[in-house]
Amino acid sequence: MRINQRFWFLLHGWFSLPIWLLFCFICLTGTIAVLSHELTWLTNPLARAENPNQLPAKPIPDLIAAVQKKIPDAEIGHVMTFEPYLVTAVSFASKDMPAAIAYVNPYTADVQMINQGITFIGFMRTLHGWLLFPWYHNYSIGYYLVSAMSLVVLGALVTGLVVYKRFWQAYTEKPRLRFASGGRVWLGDLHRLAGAWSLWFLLIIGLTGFWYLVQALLWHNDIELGPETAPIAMESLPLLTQLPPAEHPPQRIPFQQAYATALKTLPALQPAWISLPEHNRDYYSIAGAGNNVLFDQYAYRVQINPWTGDVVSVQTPGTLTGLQTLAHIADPLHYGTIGGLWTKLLWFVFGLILTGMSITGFLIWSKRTFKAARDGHRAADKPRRRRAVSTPMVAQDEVAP
Amino acid sequence: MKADSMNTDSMNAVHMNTGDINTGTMKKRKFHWQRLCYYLSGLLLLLPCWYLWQALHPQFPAEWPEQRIGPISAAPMPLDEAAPYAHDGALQKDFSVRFCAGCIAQIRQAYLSVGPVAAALPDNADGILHGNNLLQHVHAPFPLQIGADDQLWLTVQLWNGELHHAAWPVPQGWRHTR
Repeated sequence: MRINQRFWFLLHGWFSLPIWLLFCFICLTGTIAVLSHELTWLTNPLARAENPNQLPAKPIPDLIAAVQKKIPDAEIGHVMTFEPYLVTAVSFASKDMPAAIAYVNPYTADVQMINQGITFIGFMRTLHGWLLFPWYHNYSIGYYLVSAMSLVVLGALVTGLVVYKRFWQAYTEKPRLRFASGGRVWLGDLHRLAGAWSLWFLLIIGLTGFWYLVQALLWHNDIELGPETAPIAMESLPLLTQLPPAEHPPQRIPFQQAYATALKTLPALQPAWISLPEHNRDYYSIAGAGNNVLFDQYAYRVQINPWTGDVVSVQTPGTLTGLQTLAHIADPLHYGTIGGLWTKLLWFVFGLILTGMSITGFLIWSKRTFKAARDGHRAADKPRRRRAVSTPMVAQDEVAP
Repeated sequence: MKADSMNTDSMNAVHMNTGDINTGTMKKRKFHWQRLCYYLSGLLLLLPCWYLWQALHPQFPAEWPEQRIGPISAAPMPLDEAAPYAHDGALQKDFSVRFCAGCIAQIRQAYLSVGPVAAALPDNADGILHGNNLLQHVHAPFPLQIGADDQLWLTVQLWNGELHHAAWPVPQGWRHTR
């Protein structure tokens, strides 16, 4: 096949059309996932952080104490903070609840709800991220499928720019939507108009998605993104001459102390993800966002030795390796959280546009394909009819601006 | 582009009947192939429903027999029946370990290992038991070749430094898979 306008046009279609349903589904779930926090706020009053008295947010140790007061045998695993209008999630295990999340109001420290099932936010994340496919330790076929869609996005973007000559005129000229010229012409106009105005969004989603594909390959091949903190040396653990009573094992420093040390060490840290030691050689880990909005809520981190209270590691954007930097800047760009609620709304709107473009692209293609197939059927069924059947032509209105 | 389609038209006009048949058959095939891709892509979307059901109804193998380890007792449970999986150039397998009530608080550190004898306590945290006071979890390191004498060892060190071991036989099906 010669590389001409028709070739690029067919290539543009083939980037997504055979897998149109899957691509459209991933676009749609991603769009919903962008606003999953806000949809949770809308649909679950117990997930809202009401603050009628305009109280300041309480420190995380107070929220943990509130959970332990309500459930005395709760063993805290980790804590996750969200937007100011959402509760703080405190994960714990207790005798009656082996895996549960307490929804704690960050302003009043009220435990508003205990969730022992899945959350909408988590469900949307797994549905969009890997289509709920299982993880085989370090890879998931679903994660590969979804992240490979970045090639579809980038391919459609590049071929679309080749096909749509002088696309920049879409920004300078009055939008053209020829309703009177028939469905296919109108759909083509709409597809091109949406594409021209979504170029930046397609580029962001395509490039960040491509990073997720690279990351999946790195995980699959056991390639670490950067050095991990070594566990506490076993010689540093307390060693007693006599076995203590089971109810009085050696005590770690209180979490409150570790938390205060972390904030003192890294004043810019806005704690968003806190994990408590999972074994005796593990650390208190207090991670969060900082004063660089390009990075996610795990980029800044302080790890504290739970036996001595010493700061073991301090992570900031400046200490990250190249791969770690990519990992920490991809999410805010992909999720649209980079500028808070307003950018999330913007990402949601353009997510809808991208979903719509996959639909309009499919409709244009199906009109052409079904028409061509009908022509093909006629040609095959009536071979004696003296009619020259052309290959499905690319209508001029489909490739010109 | 127009020249291309004109050429195609001319060729079809020259070959008349056979050209019509061939073009039509090719289009038919192409159409069927595209339709197949379309339906396959749609069928793929049924899988998340199945995986969601699986995630909500997890099935685990039976717990292995409980054994005494010094003053405490424990029972491991593999998270699935599959052979160990590759990780960092070695093999690994995930287990849960249930200890007697209140016993985890007596443990300074505990590890799972596989071999003819229990492995020495590692400097790194490979095979370390972690989790909460109700249930522990572990990514147990396995050798690339599991020997006939190899067993799964649970090594527990108590707060007074005492070391205790218990061993379970490695299932036959895990030995010769890689």
